[in-house]
Amino acid sequence: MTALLEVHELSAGYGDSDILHGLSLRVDDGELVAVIGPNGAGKSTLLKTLAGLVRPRSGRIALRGADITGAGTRRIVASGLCYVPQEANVFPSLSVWENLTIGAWTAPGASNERARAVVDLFPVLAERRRARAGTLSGGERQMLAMAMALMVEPRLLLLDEPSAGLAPALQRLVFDRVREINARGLGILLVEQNARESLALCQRAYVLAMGRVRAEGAGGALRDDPEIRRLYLGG
Amino acid sequence: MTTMTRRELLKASGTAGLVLSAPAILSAQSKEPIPIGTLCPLTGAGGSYGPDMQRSVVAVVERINKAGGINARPIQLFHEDDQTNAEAGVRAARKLIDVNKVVAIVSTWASAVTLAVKPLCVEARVFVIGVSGADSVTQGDHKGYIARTQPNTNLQGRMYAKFAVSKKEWKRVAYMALQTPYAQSFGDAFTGVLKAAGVTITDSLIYEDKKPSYRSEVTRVLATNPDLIMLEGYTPDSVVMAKDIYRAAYKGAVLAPSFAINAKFIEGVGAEVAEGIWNMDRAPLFDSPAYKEFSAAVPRGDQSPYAPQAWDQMTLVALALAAAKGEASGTVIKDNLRTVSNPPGTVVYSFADGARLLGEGKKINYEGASGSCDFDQIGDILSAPFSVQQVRKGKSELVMIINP
Amino acid sequence: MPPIAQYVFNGVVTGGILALPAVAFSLLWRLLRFPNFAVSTYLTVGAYVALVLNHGVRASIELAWLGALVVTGALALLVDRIAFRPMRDRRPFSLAIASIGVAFVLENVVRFVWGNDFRSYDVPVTRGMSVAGLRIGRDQLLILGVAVVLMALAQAFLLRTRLGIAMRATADNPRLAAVKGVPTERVIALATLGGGGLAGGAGVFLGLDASIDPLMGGGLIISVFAAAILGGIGSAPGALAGALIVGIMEEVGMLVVPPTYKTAIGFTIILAVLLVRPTGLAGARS
Repeated sequence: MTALLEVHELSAGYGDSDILHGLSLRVDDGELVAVIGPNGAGKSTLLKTLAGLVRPRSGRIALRGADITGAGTRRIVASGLCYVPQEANVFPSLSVWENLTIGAWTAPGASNERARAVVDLFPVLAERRRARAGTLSGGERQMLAMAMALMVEPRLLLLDEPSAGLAPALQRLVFDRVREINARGLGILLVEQNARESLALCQRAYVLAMGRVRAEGAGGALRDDPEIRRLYLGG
Repeated sequence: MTTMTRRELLKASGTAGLVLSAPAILSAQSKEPIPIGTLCPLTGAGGSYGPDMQRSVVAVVERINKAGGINARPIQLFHEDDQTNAEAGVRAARKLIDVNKVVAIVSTWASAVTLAVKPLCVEARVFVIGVSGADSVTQGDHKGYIARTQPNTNLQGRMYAKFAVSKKEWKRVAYMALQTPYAQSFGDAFTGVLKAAGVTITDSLIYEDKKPSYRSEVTRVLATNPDLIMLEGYTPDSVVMAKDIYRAAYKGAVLAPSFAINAKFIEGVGAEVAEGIWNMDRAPLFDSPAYKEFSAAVPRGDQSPYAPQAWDQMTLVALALAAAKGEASGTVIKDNLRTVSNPPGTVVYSFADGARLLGEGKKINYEGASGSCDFDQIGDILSAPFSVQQVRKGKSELVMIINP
Repeated sequence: MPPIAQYVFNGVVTGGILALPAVAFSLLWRLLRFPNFAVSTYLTVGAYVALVLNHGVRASIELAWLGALVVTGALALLVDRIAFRPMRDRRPFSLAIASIGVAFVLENVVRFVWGNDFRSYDVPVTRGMSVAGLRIGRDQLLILGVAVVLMALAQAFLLRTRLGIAMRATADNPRLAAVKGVPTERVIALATLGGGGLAGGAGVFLGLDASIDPLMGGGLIISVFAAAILGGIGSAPGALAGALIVGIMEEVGMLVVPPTYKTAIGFTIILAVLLVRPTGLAGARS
């Protein structure tokens, strides 16, 4: 079976220095895969490279078998991969509704119906549809960012620390939504600081360090691995 | 345009050289020529005036050399272009002084240039005479080495006022002037004479250059109900101002300097807006025999406001040298300028007549093409005729000459 | 003293003309993250383009105005491609300096081609009419009307169209917009075209209202800058309000300070806004 996302020996970085050193991973259809690791491991760079914001230096990225290595952001989003950055992931001066419109940029056809469907998942956005995104709370903003990504009905969602900076109650809410989205059949590649939570959430996970995959396995298995616990889960 | 006039000038200069050699054979073979420089704007903003000024100087020198030179010495002219630019003017003046050893520089035009070369010339004891109007040209300690045939702003202001007073229907007058170094002194002289004659000055407003509109300036001035607006500016701002005055439905009169109300102005605002605008300019002395000789000698010289002055400047310098009998230097020119130009003395209209009388030991008083050419102690002329024009059907027409 | 209303009206007309370049300047600043001082020179270019059409091919002033809109927009686009696009990732300061260089070059090209003299369109000046004690020029009213319509169109475009929303999104966060598939370079090109067009059209108004010379646009930059800062960078209605306020203050200010200090009023506004409310009236973040 062809993987939803297949990353093979990927190297990428900024300026003269590489952040990712020959990294390989895969996400299957409908799978929720977590990526954990210490600060500076290259988690965010991985997502940015997959989204087309950082040019890969070598390696191969394939989405459902199609090579998208080095493709532009437009082609990547059009081929069903949608990236939600950790910060600045909504347009603050645009209204919630306008944000959703931009989210649907590459698939404008049924924008309104899809917006309604997406808003069903995040009812709070319907209430605040005319509000400027800059006035939303942190949790609402995170919902909007995910909602925007869903506007193009992607096959794979890249989430960069969706729970960062949120109160525990809101974190739970965000993780619930992530689970719900995944339950609808979307593949998700989730990068998280909150390793415990994400390992509990995911089916499989990769542990990154220094731009390389150090370990991989089922979420539960990694969580119970004493080595991983000691290194990345704080005992 | 510029290249054309340059080429013409080269020709003119060549002619001067030929003329120079002719009298040298006739009478002054052993005599060394007297070097004199011209520093006219052949290019730049003054480029349309400089060539005619230079032609006038060349024509005067042609006549002097043909008549045997100054005390049997011919004049040798050196021409430099000041590019209507102070820096270029200074470079050119340096060359005239250091290389050509001129005793006088005639026909400077822009005030900025005259002011810039002034210290050099005073230090080298070279006499400078030009048409620059700024008051500062003749101010300061220049030891008499500076003079001009252009009225200073005070004299101009008084002459404009003299005309305004003569129009009895102008009982309320407003003064609007572009922000320039002389807006204030011109205004003081102008309004001073009017007030003394019992005319009300309703408003005095100095405005900024390069503004997209002068609506509110016009609003303020028109609120004082003037019969006459004296508009002292340059062409570009006067165009904007005249349009705004017209749009504000002002029905009174407008008076302005002719250098602002020129053909460009009329083209810019259209004949309808320009209609009836009065304008004044320093005029030559049309009736003077010197003017007749000038206009016969200088082709198209009557089209240029400065050419008659250049004619007089060269003649005055030559007469002052002739009066010195022997030594030729900037110092003798400045020492003798007033003895040949001011009364008392027999009135003469040309170098030939003046030189002959001086040779007979008589006192002379030169009356030139541009006016009576009488100078005060700082080198300003005491009086000058002014012409009054009015725009009629898209053209400025001469209405009258106001004599001092 | 005439009623203050006359000064206010004069200011509204001045502000109306100012508003077009101010909106262009403000939106481009927000979108590209640097103050593009070449915008004021686009006014000059627009005025001369219309002059060529009006004098050269005897086009009516309306047609010449349209031509100026299109040609100036296209020129702005060309300038962007040559000068600013290769520098897209540089610091705003470098780009601002580059824009001053562009303004200088354009101004001198205009001087070289058309000379330093001022020019005028082949359009008669009309007497103003008196309405409720106010002296109102017909041309001024027309200019104001067209300026308001253009502003309304620009605002409708930004708020109501997909492309307009994309433009605002790109201004907010160009990277995120790109991630969402928005063709940001095309959005920038469109904004440059529109901004250049607005400025070019305003140049024709300025030439009609006053006269045309190579320095006409450059002389307005302080007022345009003040209007944009006052309105809040990136806000079209803010820039419009800012332009009107700057225009009115410059005219009404004559009652308090001598007319020779008109330019100083613009400077004072810039300074005051930066000190008191750096985000401007609209309060958009920059």
